[in-house]
Amino acid sequence: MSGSSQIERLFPNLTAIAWHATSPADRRYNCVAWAAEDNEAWWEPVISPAGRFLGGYFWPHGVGVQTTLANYINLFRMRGFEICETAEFEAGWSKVALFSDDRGKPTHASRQLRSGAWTSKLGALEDIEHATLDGLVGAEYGKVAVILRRPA
Amino acid sequence: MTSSVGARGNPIRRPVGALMLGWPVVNPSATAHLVATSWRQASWSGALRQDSKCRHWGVPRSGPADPTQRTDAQVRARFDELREQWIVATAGAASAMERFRHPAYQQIIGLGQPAVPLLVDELRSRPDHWFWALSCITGLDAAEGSTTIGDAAQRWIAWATEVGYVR
Repeated sequence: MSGSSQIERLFPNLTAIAWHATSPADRRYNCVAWAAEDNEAWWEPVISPAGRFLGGYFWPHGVGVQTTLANYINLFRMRGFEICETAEFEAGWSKVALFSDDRGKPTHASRQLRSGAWTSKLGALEDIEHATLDGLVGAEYGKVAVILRRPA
Repeated sequence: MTSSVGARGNPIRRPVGALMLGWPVVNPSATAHLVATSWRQASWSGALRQDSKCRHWGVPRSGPADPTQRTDAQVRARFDELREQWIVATAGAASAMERFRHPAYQQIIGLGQPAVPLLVDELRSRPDHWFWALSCITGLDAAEGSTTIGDAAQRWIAWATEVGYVR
């Protein structure tokens, strides 16, 4: 099952903003990859039962493997991003938003488009374009934890 | 902390004793609790526990629901049911580890060796996050070093064909 009804069931705050799907559902990449402009790999530090990286997943060299907000911030810092104050569109800057749950664990990443809208890969579902970050705030992804930016 | 080398030569640091503690498996009574409340709130060390009888990366091989006592058709039916539960419940989850933690996925692992050809068939028809389950059941990572789901799926299919799990 996939489609707008499923997406709005998972993310009910989307019903209050403009959004639309921009790709078919795809299980080969996740939101972090999409925020990093990669649609071919699933970016996550998945450690095998034997204690090594499990084949099938990508995690950049040099980034800690614990699923913490600090490590996800570091991942984007290594790609030239720095923490900034606002999610508002700023000419000349590319922005990424990291979401976290109520325990501070990272749950999602969105990337700002040149239009000022945001693009998100929703788990194994579709990519969507959404007018604001508020549409994804809620039980599934928690809240916006940090905004990062780098020169466009 | 100990170090090892993973995909693309990345060093991995993990807490000393992580392997000694074993990998968590589903406690059947805990599963009921997880389904009744929220599987996302479960911690590996809490509702999910280490089973001291497990010698195969924490995957139970026997017990009241011994998968070896099921027919192929029963395993297929149970697998299909669990797979659908898992796909629907984890559709929006951004984390593969979160997907692996879901009780339906854990129960697929609990099906044991009979689930391997079914998982490989899934990889053939629609590649998905079955690598963790395959690794838990078989005790190896046939796609070690692979960094994409598509490539890992092909490597698991090749392995399963070579060892005779599938044709």
